[in-house]
Amino acid sequence: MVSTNKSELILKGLLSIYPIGHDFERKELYTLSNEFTFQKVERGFQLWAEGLDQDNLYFIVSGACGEYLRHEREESLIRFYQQDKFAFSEDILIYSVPSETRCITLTESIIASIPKKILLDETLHKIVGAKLLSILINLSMTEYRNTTYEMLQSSGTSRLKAAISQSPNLLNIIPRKELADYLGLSRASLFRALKSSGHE
Amino acid sequence: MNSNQEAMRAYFESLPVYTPAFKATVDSVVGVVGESVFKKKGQVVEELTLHNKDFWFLKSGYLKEMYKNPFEKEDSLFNLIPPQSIFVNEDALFNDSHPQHYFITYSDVEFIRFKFEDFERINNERPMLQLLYLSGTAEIQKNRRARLLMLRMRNTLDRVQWVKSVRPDLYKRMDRSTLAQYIGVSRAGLYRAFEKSNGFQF
Repeated sequence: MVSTNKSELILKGLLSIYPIGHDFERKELYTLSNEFTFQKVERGFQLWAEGLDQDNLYFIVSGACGEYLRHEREESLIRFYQQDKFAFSEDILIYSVPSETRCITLTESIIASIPKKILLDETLHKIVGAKLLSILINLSMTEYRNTTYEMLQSSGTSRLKAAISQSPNLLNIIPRKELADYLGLSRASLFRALKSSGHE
Repeated sequence: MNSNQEAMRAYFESLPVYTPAFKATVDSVVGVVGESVFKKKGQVVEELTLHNKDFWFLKSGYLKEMYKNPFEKEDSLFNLIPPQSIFVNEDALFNDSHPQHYFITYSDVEFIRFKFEDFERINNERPMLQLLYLSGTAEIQKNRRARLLMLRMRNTLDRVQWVKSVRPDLYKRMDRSTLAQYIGVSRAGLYRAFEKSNGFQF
């Protein structure tokens, strides 16, 4: 259980993604917001690992997280989760399969979480649970679409601008080396893009 | 069973989640699919330019999914959709908003409509439809994630090689201009890469 202020923060987050159709849905979401637990964590804290790990829905109260995907011998940063956003492994939470990705905090952060069992099976009216699941799928699909927009830009400067338009505080939360990797650019190209777009 | 129903059934049976337990649910879906819509190469699919939440099944041909790229003068390719795929207006279906994408036929095409109202009705009667829906979206996610890795490759020819080996069905059909947009490089960049490697697309 959490204090009123904190649960209000979660409720605000839930209401930002969940269109209310009936009054009982608001009450359900309020109950749900009280079930989140909070943790203050250091940079590098792992929210979920590859494989069948934590099946939580996370809410980033403060700070930022990065989701990484391993391929061949490397690991690439594929998505960001920022303050006031929900984060989750769609593999585990939605599709109930081992996660192909892992997610860690990129800065000192406060993270709220709730297990899938409570989220979808026990607490909620089944209509609200099903609607929330569908919203999480939509969120995930939309995020992948937005990230694809960024990566489809053929110049480094456009990629950087597209990424900043999606995540305005991007340059403050991620080291340049990882940013270059995220954008698929060499470090030299990233610095040129930063300079030409007036960020260095 | 007509050929439209057979084609849609084959699609559902190809999903990883499919087992014979889904047969009755799939029967309900294929029982309500509409007549084929035919379009010639180069036409815009007007059915999806409006606020439309239906599911569409591309029975044959290829579709270009386009979007307005704020960093380019021209609209850009978001995806090339191969036959035997479901395509939807994501903005309308997911966010109840006006479509930001539109579809242009890349060849002559034939597609079939599965109405959203039928989806909702069958979903209420047969909740297993939700699992088919989930399995369908999971496949789309998997493709998007894999493509994102390709789009982060620094070398253009590595990206080309990825399309060649992972999506040979698309590679065989794409002209260079479409290939350049699909892998997120300029046309000039793609031509330079082919010239450097003394290679040809085919």
